Amino acid sequence: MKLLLLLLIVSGSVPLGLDLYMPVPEDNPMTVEKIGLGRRLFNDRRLSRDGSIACASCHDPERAFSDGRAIAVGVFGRKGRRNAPALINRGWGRSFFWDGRVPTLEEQVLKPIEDPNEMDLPVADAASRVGLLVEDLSRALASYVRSIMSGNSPYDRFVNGERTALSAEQQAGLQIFRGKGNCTACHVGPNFSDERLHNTGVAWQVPGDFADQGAGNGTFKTPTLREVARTAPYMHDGSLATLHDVVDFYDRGGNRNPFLDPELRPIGLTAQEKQALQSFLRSLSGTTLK
Amino acid sequence: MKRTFAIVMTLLTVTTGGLLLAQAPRSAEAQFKAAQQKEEVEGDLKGAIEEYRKIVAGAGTNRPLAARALVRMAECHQKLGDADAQKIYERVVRDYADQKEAAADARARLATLQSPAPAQASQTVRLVLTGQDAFGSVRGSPSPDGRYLTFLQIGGALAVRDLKEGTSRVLAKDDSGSFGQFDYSAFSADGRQVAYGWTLRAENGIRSELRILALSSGESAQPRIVHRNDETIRIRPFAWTPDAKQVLVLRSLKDGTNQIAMVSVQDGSVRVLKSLTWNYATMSLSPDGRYIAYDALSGDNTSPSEIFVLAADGSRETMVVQGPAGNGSPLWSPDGSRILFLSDRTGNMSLWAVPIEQGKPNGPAELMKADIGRVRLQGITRGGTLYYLVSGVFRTNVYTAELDAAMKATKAPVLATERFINSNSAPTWSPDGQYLAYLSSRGRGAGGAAGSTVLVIRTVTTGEERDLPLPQAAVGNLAPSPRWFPNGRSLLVVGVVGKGAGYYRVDLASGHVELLHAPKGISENGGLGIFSISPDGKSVFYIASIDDHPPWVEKKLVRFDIDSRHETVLKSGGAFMSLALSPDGTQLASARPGREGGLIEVMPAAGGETRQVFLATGGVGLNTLAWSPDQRYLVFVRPGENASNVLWRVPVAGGEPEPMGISMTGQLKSPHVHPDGRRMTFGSFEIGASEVWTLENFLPARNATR
Repeated sequence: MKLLLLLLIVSGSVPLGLDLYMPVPEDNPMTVEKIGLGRRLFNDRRLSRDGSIACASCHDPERAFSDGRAIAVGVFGRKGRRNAPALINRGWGRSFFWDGRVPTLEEQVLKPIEDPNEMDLPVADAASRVGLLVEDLSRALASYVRSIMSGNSPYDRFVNGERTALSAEQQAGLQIFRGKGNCTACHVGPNFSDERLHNTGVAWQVPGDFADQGAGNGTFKTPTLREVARTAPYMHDGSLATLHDVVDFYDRGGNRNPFLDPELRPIGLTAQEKQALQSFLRSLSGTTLK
Repeated sequence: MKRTFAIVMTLLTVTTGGLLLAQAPRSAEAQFKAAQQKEEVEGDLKGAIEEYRKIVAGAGTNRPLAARALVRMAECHQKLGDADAQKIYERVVRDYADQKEAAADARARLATLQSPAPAQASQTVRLVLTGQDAFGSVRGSPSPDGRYLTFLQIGGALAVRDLKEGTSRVLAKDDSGSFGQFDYSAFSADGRQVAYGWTLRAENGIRSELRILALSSGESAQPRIVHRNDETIRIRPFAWTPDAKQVLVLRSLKDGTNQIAMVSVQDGSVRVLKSLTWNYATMSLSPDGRYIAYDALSGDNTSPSEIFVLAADGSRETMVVQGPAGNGSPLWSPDGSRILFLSDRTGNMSLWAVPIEQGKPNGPAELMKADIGRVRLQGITRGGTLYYLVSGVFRTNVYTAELDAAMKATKAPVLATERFINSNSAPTWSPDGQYLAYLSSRGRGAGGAAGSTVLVIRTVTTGEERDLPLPQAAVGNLAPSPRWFPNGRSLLVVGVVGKGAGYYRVDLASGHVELLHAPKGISENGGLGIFSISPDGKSVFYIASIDDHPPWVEKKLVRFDIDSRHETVLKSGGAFMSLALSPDGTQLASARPGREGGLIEVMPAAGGETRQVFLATGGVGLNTLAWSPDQRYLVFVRPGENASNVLWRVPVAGGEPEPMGISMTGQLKSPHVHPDGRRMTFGSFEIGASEVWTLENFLPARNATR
């Protein structure tokens, strides 16, 4: 089955709801072999200094490649700065990490290996441990991450004509998502992310300042909402435990601060509308290729 | 917030009539802005050259600034037609190679200077269509043999023009009995079928369909509906595959996504190749059907557009034309060896071509026809004849007229200003009547294209004018008029906020601009967002859409209380076109289309029952309603004879309307009566005639050396 899925990816077949075109660097074409190698490396604990942590430790396939913790924990129990993001559909990403500081997956996949709070190992050492060149390590991991896709959710089937795929409550939630809730101002497109940076005020916790500047002025990249029901806790700092909390946060217009995104404002959702919105968000769980 | 900051910074750094910081030492960036102001706004090229020269001299180690200034300086020389342009571009390429953007720009401009368009002398340009049919061809395309051209007829029909016979006939009529709209159309490769988009606004929402008709069919023929999906709000066909099995479309979804997709003609299934959030694209399919060329913004909405080639099987994509200039409207040459496109890389819009091999650029772009103007490329025939539409130029002006005690004009209206004629709109008097504020488009974009927006404050007694650049504000014939706050010290204007629009307060003394409110459902340029301010300055009344997406038929009247930031919907439903708050702030007048004509209504500003004042046969237009200062009359605009608009007044208490003795060819907008009741101002809007032209003998031979 897994081989079949890999073949589907390589042959250009992708789950319903996703674009057929995925930007892949010309010097790192997707191959079945490379994806397979990347998958093994993704689960290989040798890539961490003490051999205790693999990429999959914080990007758990069972949690849509996210972490159940608020903040990721690395080697020697060291605590990171941010919540481990879900690695779904990153092949279509335009920038990486919560602050979008890295432009390619090939660069991104090496950063956690080197990060002292994550795997804490020089990439040359990591590559040596698994018998690869650094470039090959990077390319294989990036190829595997590109192969992690989620689509064919009830939502996808609904918008492609299967009008019974969403319940009445989920359809009501979809209306709120696009209308009153203004969620599509940022969560738009096949991956429910505009891939841009926004200040929602999550980091505005210290009086008069940000606890984390993100990409500057408290801005962070819009995360995907695919599989969102499986990726709690939420936000870059994992500060919101449930979807209910997230909906409440946006309903009050985020946290007011001098750099708050103009798309955010108090919404005034009723309890029923909040429930419908959460129900809709749960409809974004679908088939994950991994 | 960033946008607001940018506006503030621009206001603070641009030298405006008597504005701020004139005594403070200017930063390098401020100097650059000032030079740009001289070049683009004032049109003083020699003065701008001198400013840029000073910037270069004082740039020191700031090489990016020096390179930018040199390019701009060379551009000024180029516009003046002197030879220094080439030398300066060469200097940038030679000495500033590390400044990649500036060097690339200089190289592109050098290319145009050094390589005149090939075979310019043998090029043939012909006018093939003008008038209403040409105007309607803005979404049309030529048949592969060039004999036919599709267009939209006024009244809602898809029609085809036989350019050989000089006749037109209807292909399909809107028989929905509702609000059906035809959209883009495309001929199949054999020229026998036409695919077109059609959108219906129904009670249960918007529905868009891809339809196909045989060219030979009569107007009563039923089209074949190839694709229909409740999520699709607009579908625009651009091309057929050579085997006629698929149609390349741009599909717009309810969530704001635009998809480049192939629709199967046989079963209507959709293959989504790429999603472009919010961005529209113009597309063209290579003659062999293997590649799609499209244009898109690479970054935010202020980025120049670039041209990409996407493999039709979704396997890869390549950027083939890059900024910094605006590049768009890609069109494959008939032999598939080039992509034609429009670009303003030389300062003026010209036709270019980039050679392509296996979906990738195979050499630098070449100039095909210089200074083609702001046109829409409609298509190219098998024989290499390019069809393009020259849309009528927008002409917007601001007028004043003197009125007698009965509110009748005593003289013909006169232009309120003679600066930047044909670029001024949306006038409004200050509360004390001492000033007239209006919007003016400037720079390269004057006349409708992208450019800067200036808020002009004119002193009525002296005619002195002061400009306040507003880069984020709307401008044009459909821009909501600015409104004064009651203290006369600030105005509210509509401007861009994110992907929507919002209300910005402009403080005239400090130049400070702040975003006051960014409600959902208003637009920076259209009927949405038309607003009034209450006499106490504490509330804004505006028109907003109820719908999330075009065509925005259902609207609402909203009051926004500034202090509490609370919105109250006063009335919901109806296609409101105009809104005006009475001078005492107690009554809200609105205009909307009804079944039998335009309804002019009044309701309490606090909300309540609506009372019909007048039913205007002929309908009502956008932003065409005003109160007399004594609140006895409502001024409105009504269509007159020979495509004119006429100003009328109607008693608010009821009674027959009377013409005010003011009519203009084209449209009248933004009427506003002076507080003394003896003068009024309004904006005019006209579109010049549209023309379809062909260009022949412009393509180099396939193997021509470059």
